[in-house]
Amino acid sequence: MLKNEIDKLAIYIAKQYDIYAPVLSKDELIVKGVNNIDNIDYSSRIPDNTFKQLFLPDQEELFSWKKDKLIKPDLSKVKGKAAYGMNVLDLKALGLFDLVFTNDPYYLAKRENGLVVGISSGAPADYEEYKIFSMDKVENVLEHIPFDIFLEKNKEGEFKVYSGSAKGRKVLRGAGIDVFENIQFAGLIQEEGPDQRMLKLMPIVKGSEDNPVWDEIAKICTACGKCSTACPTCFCFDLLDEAGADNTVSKKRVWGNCFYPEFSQVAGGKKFVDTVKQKLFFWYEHKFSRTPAEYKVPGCVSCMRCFKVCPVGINIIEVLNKLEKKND
Amino acid sequence: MIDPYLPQRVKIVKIKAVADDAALFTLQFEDSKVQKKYAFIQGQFAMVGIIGAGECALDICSPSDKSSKYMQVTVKQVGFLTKKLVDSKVGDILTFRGPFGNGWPNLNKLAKPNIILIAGGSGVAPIRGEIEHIISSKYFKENTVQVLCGSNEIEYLMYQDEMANWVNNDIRLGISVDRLKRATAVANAKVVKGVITQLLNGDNIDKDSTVFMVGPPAMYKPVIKKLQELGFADEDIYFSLERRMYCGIGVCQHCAVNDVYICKDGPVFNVNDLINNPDLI
Repeated sequence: MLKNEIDKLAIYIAKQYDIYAPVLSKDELIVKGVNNIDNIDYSSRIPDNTFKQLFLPDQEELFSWKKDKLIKPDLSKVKGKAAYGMNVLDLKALGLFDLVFTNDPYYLAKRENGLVVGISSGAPADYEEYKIFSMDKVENVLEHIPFDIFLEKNKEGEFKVYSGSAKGRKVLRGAGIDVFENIQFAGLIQEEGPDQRMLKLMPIVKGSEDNPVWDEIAKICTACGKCSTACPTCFCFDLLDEAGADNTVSKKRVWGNCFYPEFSQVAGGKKFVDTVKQKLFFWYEHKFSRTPAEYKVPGCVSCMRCFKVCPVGINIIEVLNKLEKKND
Repeated sequence: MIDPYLPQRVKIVKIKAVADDAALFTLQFEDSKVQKKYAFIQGQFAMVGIIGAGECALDICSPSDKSSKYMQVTVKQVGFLTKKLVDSKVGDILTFRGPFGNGWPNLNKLAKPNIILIAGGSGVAPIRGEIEHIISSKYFKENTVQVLCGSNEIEYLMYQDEMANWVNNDIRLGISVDRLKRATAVANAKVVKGVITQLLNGDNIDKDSTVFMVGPPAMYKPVIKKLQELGFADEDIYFSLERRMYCGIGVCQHCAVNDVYICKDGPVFNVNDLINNPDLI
């Protein structure tokens, strides 16, 4: 399928949804609201920021009170956003969010009313560099990532189109696209079982609390928390009350950050995750031990955004390699 | 779909000071139908809040068999929200979510039915619910019940006014106060100067017992060690933990300790849980 037909699809989607897609501006590839579909980047490169904002905003009102009256939003009327051009790694992260927030009506409303369009132009050129966990060819992963529509771009710039849901099929047909392959989502875990590297890393990271690797990194880590903000799988949150005008109080959910001092602080001042070393361990442990134990999938999708934003250049792959080596 | 973050409104029907810096709040749901159906297990907690000031995790410290009539929570003034709570008045509306987590083990299923409740500092609050339950269920009639409370200062020892009732219901009471200025007694129990482990000497302790304990973070290791030295089996020692919490359902990550969420998998744990997760304490 040629690009101009994909453009028709984007125009059709833009009529129903606010489209958020990777847009190249200068050297930066940024996911943002798109008014002109010609600006959409189809390289399937990993954008500098993530799509998580669309489904778990950095702050969102859950409900509010006006004086004594509770005001609950009609979640069925939440305006859907289209996450357009999500690469495979970000779709894996979305798959994890779908598991974590499976009982969260606010998240589900955004998912159900929104649209997810994935894209791949094959494995990235620097494929080896990105490899923390096994990343197979597109055909092998499509059944294990969530999407409504998936666009596979070949070297000639032509597209093969897949549908991953009834909603996706409806949109495709509405856009006049009848030639597409239907993919049945079979859960995040591949047929051959959970990721082998993940299984190997689980006990290593879990038992690493006193590993000198953490002391070493803690010397340079500034606990700025940028890695968590940039990470497509970090989802910690706080709930807080915010007073507004006219005696209104909003219950807000805002992104939490385990590198921030108040993350684990209880009344009286005690912090259970206190030192930089403890914070580093907590972050890695969440991704490589707690999430795998809870959901059987890694809490990291190898996107390397944490490394790219880290002001002191902490490389997640090197950290894991060091932990493995110390363990041998 | 149930909104796990949406609280119920509860009315403060009674406030009683239980120490110089703590108060017991008796709460009822505004919606009496909700109250009638309400149930919890002793040792579970609720997220209690003030509209505009946020929520905090508080143990429900009333007897569970009164759950269809009211709930009680103890508030110690330590931070922003608890200061606001302590300043509340009868008739004020609070928000209430829960119960969350697992509670203390069922008393009727304990391998060792005699029981020792150990409470350090504001840990008396969560223990108080179990004591009320023991009294209202007449559990003390068939089994030995000991309560050991420790406090930094005598003024901060909670529930002194209820201790006479505990003793009258055959509960053996031991009290230690770290900074004790003069010899004193509460409910005829001589107050021992020092930390709570001083109450754990072999003669006074019924070793054929199950232990429930709550206290400040620094209390758990020395008390568990002392109990082990006295011959208590790990599986007979339970403890309840405090952490910062927002969701109460094991999502927000604030209370995570390795692979465990204090809110969902706790707050009550057994000493055997420390084998897989020594960082709990």
